[in-house]
Amino acid sequence: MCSITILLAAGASLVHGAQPFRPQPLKSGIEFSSAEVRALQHDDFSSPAMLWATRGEKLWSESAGASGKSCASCHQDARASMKGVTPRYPQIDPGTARLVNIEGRINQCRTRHQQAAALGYESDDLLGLTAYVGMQSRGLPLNVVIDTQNRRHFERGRDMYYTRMGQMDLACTHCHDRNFGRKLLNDTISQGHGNPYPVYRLEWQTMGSLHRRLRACFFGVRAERPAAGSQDLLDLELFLAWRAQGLTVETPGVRK
Amino acid sequence: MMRHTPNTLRRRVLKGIAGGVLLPASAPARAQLPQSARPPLAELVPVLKDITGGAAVREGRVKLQIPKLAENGHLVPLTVSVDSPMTAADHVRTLYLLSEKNPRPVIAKIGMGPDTGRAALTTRIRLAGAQYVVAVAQMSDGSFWGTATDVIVTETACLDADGV
Amino acid sequence: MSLARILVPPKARRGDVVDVRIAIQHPMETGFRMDNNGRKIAKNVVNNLVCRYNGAEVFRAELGSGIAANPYLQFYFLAKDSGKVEFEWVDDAGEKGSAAASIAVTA
Repeated sequence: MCSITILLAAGASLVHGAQPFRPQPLKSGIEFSSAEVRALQHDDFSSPAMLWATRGEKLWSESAGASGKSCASCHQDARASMKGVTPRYPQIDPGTARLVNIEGRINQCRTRHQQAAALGYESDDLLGLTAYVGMQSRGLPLNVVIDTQNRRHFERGRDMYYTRMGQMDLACTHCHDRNFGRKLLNDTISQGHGNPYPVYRLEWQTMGSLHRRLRACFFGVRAERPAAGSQDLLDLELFLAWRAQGLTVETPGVRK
Repeated sequence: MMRHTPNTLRRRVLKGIAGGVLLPASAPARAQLPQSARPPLAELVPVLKDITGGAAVREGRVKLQIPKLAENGHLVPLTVSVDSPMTAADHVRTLYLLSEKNPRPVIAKIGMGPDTGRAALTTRIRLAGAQYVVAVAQMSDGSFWGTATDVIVTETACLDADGV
Repeated sequence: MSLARILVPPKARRGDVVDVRIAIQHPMETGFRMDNNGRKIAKNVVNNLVCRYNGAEVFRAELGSGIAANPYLQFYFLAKDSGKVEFEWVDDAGEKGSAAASIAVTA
């Protein structure tokens, strides 16, 4: 028992010291999905996720807050201005020197520029705007860059990814690096990439954020769940984005 | 001895619900049946009786396209179509989608007519567990036609605790 | 904000069977679920949806809790004259929704 613990500890430290492992070839979760789920995601009319993207499209040009401005007042046509934005997130906000994801950036725009209240993390409106912004980058590869500014966050996210936690004593890596493609009941384990988020998940019967999905993973290993939008999940999101570099944005996706 | 292919099974299901009378399966035949094909659809007999008023439901003309294995019962895509010219003289009047085990057996009741052009509907349903899905069409001449398909429904391993 | 998407082809030839689709954002609450505090969530489903083509009903659906959340329906009608295709629906809470599109029909 003792020697097993030592071996595992040695394995873990090896991972920490070297360049973190990335599955090869990288595969989007859609490749592990059933024909039904693929059909839902690939048809822009029948995809239930598009209801949220349509909501986001409407909100984009609706004025909000004391400023009377809409997103479009500053950013004009999202189809041009938002193209290529999602693949660069999460990134450091120069004003606060904090890591923000798309959801955080949208809420910053609301509070700073529109003088409107921030939207709830899992609200239909924030999911809608995030989906609409993300959709403009569909097909573009994720390309976050790790630099001196965000390295601290990247390393925290990486460490969380490789840390065993919860009653199940599992780390992210145990499912998503070592066992992808294999079955957990009737689910095929994916490589755990964030490229389709926010997604319409059949299990949820609604749209949900990447952070909601990550919380479900924490629940799955019976670990304490960090709050949506928390520093822990933002850091993990940055590591996942780095790990998925090269995969293309599928927002708004559909998953089981 | 009779072998129960899916087709003969389906026929037995429909025979079972026709006129709301369950036909007893012969003892040797029953011994061969999988558990999922127990003398079927007892739950649907009263519902069928309400719809048909006791008239027979004949097998045929109605086609159900639904995955054999649905990976999540919250959303099961389905297409139902009826072989009908959809003319003023001969068309589908009402199309019922029924589930054997959902807490409410009537999933949908669709009204159509000659202006509908084609007797077909694609939608997504909920299924509370593995069960038969039944489609019954009432034609303009008053006759009832139907079909039944069994669907296996699996549960997800990756649950979510955030709930509603 | 009640939200729906409809797909009606902008044009068709007389006598064509036209394919229309509708998706409505609605939870289709079954009435069997509990919220996080253990309280029952009231049943609320889109229970009725009607499609009219130039005022005449071409399709009617009575829906129940067996229809998946965010109901999606694809059905057909026979193109006759140019005009309006209207969808109307109502849920258990009495909230109504509607959507419409026009179609140009050529001989």
